[in-house]
Amino acid sequence: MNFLDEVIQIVFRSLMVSGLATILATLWSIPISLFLLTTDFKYRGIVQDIFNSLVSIPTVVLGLFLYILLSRFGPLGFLGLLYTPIAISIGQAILITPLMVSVITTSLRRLKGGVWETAISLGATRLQASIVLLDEGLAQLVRSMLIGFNRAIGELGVALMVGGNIRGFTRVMTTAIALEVTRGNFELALNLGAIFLIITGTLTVVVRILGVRE
Amino acid sequence: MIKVEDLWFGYNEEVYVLKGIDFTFNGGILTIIGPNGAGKTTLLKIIGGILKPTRGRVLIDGMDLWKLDGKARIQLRRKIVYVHEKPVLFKGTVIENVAYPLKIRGLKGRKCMEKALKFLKLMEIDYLAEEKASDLSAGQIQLVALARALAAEPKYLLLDEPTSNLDTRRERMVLNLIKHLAKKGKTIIVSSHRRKFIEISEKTLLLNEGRIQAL
Repeated sequence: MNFLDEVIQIVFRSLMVSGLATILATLWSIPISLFLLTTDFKYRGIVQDIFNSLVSIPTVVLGLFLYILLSRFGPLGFLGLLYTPIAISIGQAILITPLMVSVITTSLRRLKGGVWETAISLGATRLQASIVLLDEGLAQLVRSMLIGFNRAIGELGVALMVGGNIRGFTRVMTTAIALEVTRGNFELALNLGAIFLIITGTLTVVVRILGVRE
Repeated sequence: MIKVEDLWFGYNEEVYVLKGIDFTFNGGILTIIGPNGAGKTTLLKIIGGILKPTRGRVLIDGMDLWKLDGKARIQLRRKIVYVHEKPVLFKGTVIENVAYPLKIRGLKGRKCMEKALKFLKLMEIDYLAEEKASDLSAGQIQLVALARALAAEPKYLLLDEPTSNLDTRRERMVLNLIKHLAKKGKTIIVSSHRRKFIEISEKTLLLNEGRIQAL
C-alpha cells in the first residue's frame, strides 16, 4: 500500500468509525435529554450532575473499562467485538454520550419554557410536544452532534485500547499519529495531523455558525 | 366548571407564589387583576395544567388533571388552552401555526388548512396566512396566538394580558370576540391590567402577594 492510499484509508476509517459513534450516541442521547428536560422526578438534578461530570472522563479509563467488558473472558467477550472498528464506535459513542446529553439539555432548556409549554397548552401529548421541541431545536441538535463527532474523532484512549491499532483494520487517525511519532515517521504523522486539524477546524466553524444562529 | 381548592404553589419549599387560593367559576369572563408578581400568571398556568400545584387542587369539570393518566389527562387538557402574555409561535408560516392544534387532534390536509384560515379570518389577519411566524410584530404574534388558541376550540380559555401589544382598534376587536365567546358558553379567565376587561367580566379577582384580596 502506498503512502497516499494509507492516509486516505485511515482518514476514511476515522470518519466512518466516529460517524457511526455519533449516530449511535444521538440515538440514545436525544431520548435521555428529553426525559431529563420534561420529566419531574426527585433525582433529576443528581442525574444531570452525573452526566455533566462524566463529560470529562479520561478516555483511557473508559477504554480500560470497555477492554475488560469486551475481552475474551469479559462479560461481553462472547460478542467477539474486541479489536474491531465496531468496538471503537461503541466506545466512542459511550464516551460522547454525557457530552451530547449535556449540550442537548442545556440548549433545549432555553426553548423548553416557550415551545414545550405552548405545545402542551394547545393539547399536545408528550410525544407531540417533544417532536415540536426537537424540530424547533434542530440547529442545536446538529450542533451537539458535531460537538460529539469532534470529541469522538479526536480521542485516543478508547481507539487504542479496544481497537488495537491494527493496520488496515482498526487504525484511525489518532492511533496512527501516536504510532508514527514513536516510530519517528513524522511525515505520515504530520500529514494525518494536518488533515485532522482541517476536519476538526471545519466542524468547529460549523458549530460556531450554528451557535450564532441559535 | 373550574374549582380551585386551597391552592398553594412555590418554586421552592420556602417561598410560595400562591397561598391558599379558593374560588369557583363557571361560564362567562373572570378577570384576574393585581400588581406585578402577585401570582396571576402562575395561577393561570396551574389552571391550564402547565404547572403542578405544590398543595391543593384544581378541578376542571370535577376532575383533577394531575390525578388522571394517559388519554383521560389529554382529553381534559384539550378542554383548556392557556395563551401566554408573550406567546411563542413555532417556526413555519402563520397558517401552519394556527393549524397545529387541529393537526394534533387528527385533522389533516386541506380541511385542516381551511379551518385554520377560518380562525385567521375571525381575527382579521387572514392576509398574514403565508407569512413566516418569525417575521411578525409583537401585536401580530399576539393575534396569531389567539387564533391558534381558538382553533383548539377549548371550553376554557386562559388569556394572560391578551391585548398588551395591540392598538385600540385591535383591542376592541379582541374584547368583542371574548364577549361573543363568553355568550356562546365558553369560560374565559383573563389576567389583565386593563379596565375594559373588568367592565365586561362577570367576576373580578384581585390577587395580591399570592392571596385573594377580593372576589
